[in-house]
Amino acid sequence: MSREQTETMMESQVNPEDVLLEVKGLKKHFPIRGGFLRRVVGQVKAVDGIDFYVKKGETLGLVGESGCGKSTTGRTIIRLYDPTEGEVIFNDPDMGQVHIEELDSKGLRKVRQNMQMIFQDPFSSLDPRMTVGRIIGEPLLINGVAKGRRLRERVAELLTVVGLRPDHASRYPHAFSGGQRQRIGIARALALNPKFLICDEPVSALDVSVQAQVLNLLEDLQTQFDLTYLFIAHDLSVVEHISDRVAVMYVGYLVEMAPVERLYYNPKMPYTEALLASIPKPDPRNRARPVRLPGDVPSPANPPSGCYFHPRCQYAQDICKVERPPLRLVGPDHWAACHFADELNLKGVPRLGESAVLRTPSAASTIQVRGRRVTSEQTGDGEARTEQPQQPPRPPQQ
Amino acid sequence: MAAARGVAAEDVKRAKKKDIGQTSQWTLMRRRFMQNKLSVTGVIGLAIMYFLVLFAPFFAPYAPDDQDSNNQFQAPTSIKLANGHFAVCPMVQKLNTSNFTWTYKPDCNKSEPIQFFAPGFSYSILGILHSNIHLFQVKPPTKIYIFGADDLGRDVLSRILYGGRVSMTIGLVGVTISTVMGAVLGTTSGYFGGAIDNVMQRVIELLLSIPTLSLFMAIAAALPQDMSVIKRYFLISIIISIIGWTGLARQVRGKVLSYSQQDYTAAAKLAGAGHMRIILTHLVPNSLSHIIVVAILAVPAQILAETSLSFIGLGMLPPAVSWGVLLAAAQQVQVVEQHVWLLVPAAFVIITVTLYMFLGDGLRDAVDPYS
Amino acid sequence: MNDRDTLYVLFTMDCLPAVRKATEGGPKTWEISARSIESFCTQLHAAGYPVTLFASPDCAEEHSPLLEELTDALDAELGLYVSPKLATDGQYKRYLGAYGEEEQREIVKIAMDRFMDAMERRPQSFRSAEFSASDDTFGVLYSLGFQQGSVSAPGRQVAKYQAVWVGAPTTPHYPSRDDRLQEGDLPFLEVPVTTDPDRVVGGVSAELCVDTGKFETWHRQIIERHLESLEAQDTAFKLLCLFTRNGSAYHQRSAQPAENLARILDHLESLRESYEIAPVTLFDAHQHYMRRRDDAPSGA
Repeated sequence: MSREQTETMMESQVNPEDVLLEVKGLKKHFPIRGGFLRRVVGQVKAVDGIDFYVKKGETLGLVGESGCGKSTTGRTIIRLYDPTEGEVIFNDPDMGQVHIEELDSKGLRKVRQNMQMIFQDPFSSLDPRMTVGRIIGEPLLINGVAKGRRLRERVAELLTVVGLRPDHASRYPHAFSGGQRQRIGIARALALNPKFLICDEPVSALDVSVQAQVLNLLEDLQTQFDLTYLFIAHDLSVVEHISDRVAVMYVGYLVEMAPVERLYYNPKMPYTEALLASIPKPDPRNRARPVRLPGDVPSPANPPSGCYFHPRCQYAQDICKVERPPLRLVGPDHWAACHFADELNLKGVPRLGESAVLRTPSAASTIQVRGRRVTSEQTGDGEARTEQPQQPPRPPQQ
Repeated sequence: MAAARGVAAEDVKRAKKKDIGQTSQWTLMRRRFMQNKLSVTGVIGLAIMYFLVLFAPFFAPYAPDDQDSNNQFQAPTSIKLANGHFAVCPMVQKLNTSNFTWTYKPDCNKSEPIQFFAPGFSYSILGILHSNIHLFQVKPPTKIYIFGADDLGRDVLSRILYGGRVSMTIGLVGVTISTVMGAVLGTTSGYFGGAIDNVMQRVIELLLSIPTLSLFMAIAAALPQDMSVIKRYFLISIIISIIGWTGLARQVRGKVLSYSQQDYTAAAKLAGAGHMRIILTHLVPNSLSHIIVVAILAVPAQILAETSLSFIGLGMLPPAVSWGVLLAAAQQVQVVEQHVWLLVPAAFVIITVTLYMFLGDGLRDAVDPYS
Repeated sequence: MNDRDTLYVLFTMDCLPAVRKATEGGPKTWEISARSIESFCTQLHAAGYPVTLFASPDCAEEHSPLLEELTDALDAELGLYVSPKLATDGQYKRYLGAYGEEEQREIVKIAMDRFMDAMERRPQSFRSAEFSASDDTFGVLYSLGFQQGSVSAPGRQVAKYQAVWVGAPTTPHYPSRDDRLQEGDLPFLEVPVTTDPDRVVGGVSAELCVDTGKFETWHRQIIERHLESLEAQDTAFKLLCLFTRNGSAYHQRSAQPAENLARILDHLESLRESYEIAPVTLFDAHQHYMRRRDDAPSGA
């Protein structure tokens, strides 16, 4: 399947005016250097040709095991890394359609007023030697948006929006918990009123009891400020809750993309099925819950031939070892990269209406139930509860 | 039980009285520094010493090149209390005919009172302050040698004070140069990486592999003997610092490398920060503490370097005065045997270096907690 | 007994300020301090145990938003930790027990004022650095409004810090007003940290400090000995009190302190067969204690 055919097919699924970000054939390779003269001896193909799009106002989840290239994708889109190949087309509210991969530094600066990023590690994303006020105010200062009293007011505003107090502006990062620091990072990302936020695993480093708060905050902010999210994560249950559509990556390649319900209940690619089947019960003590499948994830420097997943795929046939399946349309707005996507009858997660709540032996966890606001609470015997649905969404609380 | 927590009935909410947790970095550092007795000693001690050498002519009773053939190798003058003032008992020089050495005996019958704030040779400090008042003087021909005299009858104290001007400042010039070079080059290397970093590393390795002593000997041999003292001074200083920047550069590079990989650097880029802003706002302040401490501790190293080089004749040469030059004159065994006071400059070197160590340690303790 | 007895479990953490030459187990930087405190509390909260934090005034000042969140969201309790030299900026240089009654009152008051300025609330319980105390200490604390604390470490004998608790009661009790080693009627609940008073090394008995040693060789034995002695004395109010400091890197899951914590939690799970495990904060413990005394008029 050629690129043009993929393009036209994408256009058939969505109105181009509704697309905020489109990625075409994106590749990011990192050279491996060796020897005395540091010659290039190989390439780590972290991202090896992906296509997707993000619609205005939606949340696209991007999932995969660690090392699949999802984080690199996020950073390449925003040009913290320069793409090796491919196009990143952003529908900037001020500048119109912009090819990010071609922008010079001035253009990048302008586009980054509308496209920002939230980082994973709350401890390294804030400069420990700067006060919170300076951290949040930095984008405003650099871009000449505000200074002096106006700057302080704006910083106070942003702190309030994320649920902190304005007088926190004069404190240092070490005064805060991980969850609070993540809020500070969110406030900084919002400083320039961006339209598009790349959330690079924003809750992965947080404790389970705090994850729900930050996720709820992100959702509230999305409604309040009409934001679009690219939500990168490895935790499928978190992604399911917050996303409208989900894309699955495997060793630098996009293998499935669909609206969230279709993907979770009706996957078309065996890797997705395997991922969904292995959603583990949350272990309260193990904050990092990477999904693990049997077998090893291939190295992006040396991927297998044909379909990268074939060594671990129970449905693999001869063609899978030879030919890499392209990402093609297999249902309404449902793309899968599998030769047999039409024929396989794959299992998704059980419908959540039936088994309402994931029980844990003790303590709190983040529970996802479609369409409802969640909290993580713990009663004496460890059973988790959900709050009643909130309609309409309320503004963020202080 | 959920409601009443602790002394809940008296759960008093007090208004915040002061800015807690908000004091600036510098205030906190200053406070920590002041609490450390050794570092305060260091600062005060060094301040005194620099004051002494700045106003050397005032504190020195004689000019450093003021020779007196009647008082060669004069022992330190004994000071006695006579008639209510401090007075000097002039030495009477006698030739011991049995082994042909000079012996000195104080003759307290003709004691000369020490005059404080008395006129002496005229001088100017930094070309601005002209005066001829000295802290203490004695009426000639009596001489007051607090630390004795050298082989040409020159007062050792005066020479120490004037020599201190060179020894204590040569370190500063050199360290400034090598700190700035090391910090800038190290930051560039660590931040930009790639080819620049590669080249820098190789250059550093090259420089570090040069045996320094041989280099100095070669340079000393190459420099003309009749080069002016000032020129020699600066040249030595520059040469020392050109080798010295490599250590700091490496350390700074390492820190900058790790800081620039932190997410807050990426966030700054996304906020639109250019290279200079990132370097100056995020990388340098985080490394500054380390840089300052290394710089402060490098000064005594420079002082010692100059002293050692001059001691072996590769650095400053007479008629210039520095502590190294003074010690060079004390190389012979006779000195230790008969004229021990010629080693006093060494005590000054030790004291200065020790004070700098206190200061450096105190600074490191004050500045480090945020690392 | 047909029903299992209740075993109250109390986890405490001393929060010391960051000084470069860290002593008393304190943290080297504020970053480490923040991460250690947060990580300890979240790990325990996830396992169902609320933490009682004893914060020095400096810590309260530097970490106030963090501590607020921990008390609000993770049910932590916030108490006061007093090391006189740190709390009074060097005005009083020795440990608490070295001073007379009025001076102790002055020191604790200074510390309390700083704490309340920073946190806008009163500290609920008390701990003294190095477990230093004199016979006046409990009286002083009660007069300042504290109603519970963990000041003693039975078996400890460090005279130079005025921390001598040889022969002290090993279970929660109301102390005497005049003699810190005797029980009495001062309505201040003293909860000693769990120790093995017979195992004394260098004046310090084997104390149930989470970041000391390894579980197999250190903590297991102390816990077992303590439970044995509770059974032998047929104590009605059984409690296990553990402590640690914020200088230990609990955020590093592979390091020793975090491992010890995990092992201890596993061990407590295994004790559920013999006991009804009730995780408490210090205030909670006092409430339970008072209730028991009311229920058992013969005294417990």
